[in-house]
Amino acid sequence: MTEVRERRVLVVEDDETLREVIAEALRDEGHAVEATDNGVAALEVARNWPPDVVVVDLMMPRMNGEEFSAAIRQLNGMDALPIIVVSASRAVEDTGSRIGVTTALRKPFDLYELTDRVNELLR
Amino acid sequence: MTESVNGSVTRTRQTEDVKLLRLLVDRVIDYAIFLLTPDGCVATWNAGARRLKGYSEDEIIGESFERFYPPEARAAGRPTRLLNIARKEGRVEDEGWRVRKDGTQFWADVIITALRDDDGRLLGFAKVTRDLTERRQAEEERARRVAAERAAERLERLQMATAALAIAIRRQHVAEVLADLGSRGVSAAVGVVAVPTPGDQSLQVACVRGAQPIVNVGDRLSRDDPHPLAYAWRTCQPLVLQSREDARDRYPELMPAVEKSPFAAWAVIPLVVDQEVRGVLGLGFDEPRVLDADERGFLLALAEVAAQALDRARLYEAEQSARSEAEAAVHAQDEFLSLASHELRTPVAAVKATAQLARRSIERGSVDGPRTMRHLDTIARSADRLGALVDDLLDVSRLRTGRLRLRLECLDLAGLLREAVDRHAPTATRHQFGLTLADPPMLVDADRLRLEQVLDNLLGNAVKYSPEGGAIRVAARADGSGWLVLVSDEGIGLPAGQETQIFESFGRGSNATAQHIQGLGLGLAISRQLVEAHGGRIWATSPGEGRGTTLSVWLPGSGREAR
Repeated sequence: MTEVRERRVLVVEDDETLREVIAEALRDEGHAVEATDNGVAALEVARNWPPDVVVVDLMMPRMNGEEFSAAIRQLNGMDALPIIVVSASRAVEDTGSRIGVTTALRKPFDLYELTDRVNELLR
Repeated sequence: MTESVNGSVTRTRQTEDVKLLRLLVDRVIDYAIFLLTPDGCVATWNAGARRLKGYSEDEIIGESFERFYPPEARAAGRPTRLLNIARKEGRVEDEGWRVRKDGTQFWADVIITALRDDDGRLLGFAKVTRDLTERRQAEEERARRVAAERAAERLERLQMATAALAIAIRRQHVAEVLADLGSRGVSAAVGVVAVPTPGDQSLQVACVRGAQPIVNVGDRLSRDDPHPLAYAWRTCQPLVLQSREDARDRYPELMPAVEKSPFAAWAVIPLVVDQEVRGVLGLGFDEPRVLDADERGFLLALAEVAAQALDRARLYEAEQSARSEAEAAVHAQDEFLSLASHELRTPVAAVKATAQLARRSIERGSVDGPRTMRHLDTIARSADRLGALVDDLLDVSRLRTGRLRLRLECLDLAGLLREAVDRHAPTATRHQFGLTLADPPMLVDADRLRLEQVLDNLLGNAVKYSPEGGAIRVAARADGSGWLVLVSDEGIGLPAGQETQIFESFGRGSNATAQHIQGLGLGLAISRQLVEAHGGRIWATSPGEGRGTTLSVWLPGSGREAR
């Protein structure tokens, strides 16, 4: 009997309210979700709990979304990990394409769009 | 016989010689050659004398030779003096103006020779006079031409300077042109230009041109320094030291500086506009040097042009700096707006996402009451946060542009502190509040809402930055002419050297950011501006990271209180 592994989403967002809302919406879609408020902690999570998709804020203290994206892709087997960045920055799309992320969304983003993108990537 | 013949021949020859000699003297027309008696009266006259002086023999024989001199020379006793010298030394030479019979003057070269017999008895004087008027005119003409050429050359230099200075829009550039052309114009070894610093605090060297720099660019002199440059600055007068001896005689106080320099002579010219010294041009010479009128004129004219150029450059630079300040202000405002919009977008995203989440649960028929309530609460809370954020941003903006109006009234600080503690204590369950007050009333003239805002910010910070809880001590006491309020916590403290930056807009302690304690860094910036608008001061102290922070506010006491 092969157990199908659950689909895992790692959320990294320093605003508590937004982080909780994103996590709840993704759980509603049937995904397993871990949420942290900074990139350093998220890397720790990813080592023990390799995610299938990452949703990450760009502007965070200590380690920003760009640094985090580069770092997580260095981890074993995660060089092609789909990453969705969200940011209040006007330049989120430019930054996103520069660092080679899958999707870039500007805050305030559409929740349906976010969950649709995650679902597509996990299909 | 032979002797007699010979003697007669000799005599005849001698007589012939005398005749010839007389003829020679008489016929020479380029020189006036005549004899004077021992007391200076004309004894003989020749053709040259007739031609030169215009008198006939009959008119002049027996007259005093003094009449050949202009009245002022006679008044000065010059003719007598010349005769005395000739008498004493055998001869005298002189050049000067002489007067013809018709009153016109000519420039003469005169030799007077004393004639003495074998016993040394003075028989009279031989006077030989030549008209040098033409030669003198030629010399004068040549001197005039040379002077004109030099003047033209200086004029050209001055025009060059004027042209170069007209396009020099920075003071540094003016200084360079001036040092360069000034030193070359009078062949100085070194040219130095110094300008007063803003507020006339000191005189700063802006430019040095030449082989032996005695001062360096950037050197500063104070107004009363015993230095030639400072001297011209403080006295507003040009200073010319022709040699070290000259300096020693006239400006002994400047000698140490002069002796320290390698120069034999100095010229220092202040650059003056509206009786204000805008700069100083200093020139150093290798040899002792006397500046002629022409050179002095050149330097003064150059100084005037340069002073005006410096003044123009000063205005230009002032205008430039005002403009760049204005641009910086606009830039800061842009940056502020961009940061503000950025900070607003995250709570807006939370509101929107939560609303969409609630909607989707209805769509999916999975509504449950408690969950929907939670979503609605999140939306309301985010809206509150947004409202507070907008208020803070507006406050910062108003304070930055000085548009905040305070409604001052006489208030009891003790009552306000008690109320503030009462507002915070119920929600901060992990903290223990302590309040120590001086005897009320503690009166201040303040805007009630704004002062409450400051106190709320102080207490809110104490709670926020001690996430593990602990004591929060609030104390207020009289201090000088006002009141000192201290709010201490046992929280994360401040890294050394960050006591000031937390009062800047968007400035936060690095440990607060690292520990993900939410905040924009606006609260204390607003509090500082509000406290300062009340005539008070606010500051932070901390023994270090993890060891708590004390925020202190000093406010002036109410003017209405009789204390």
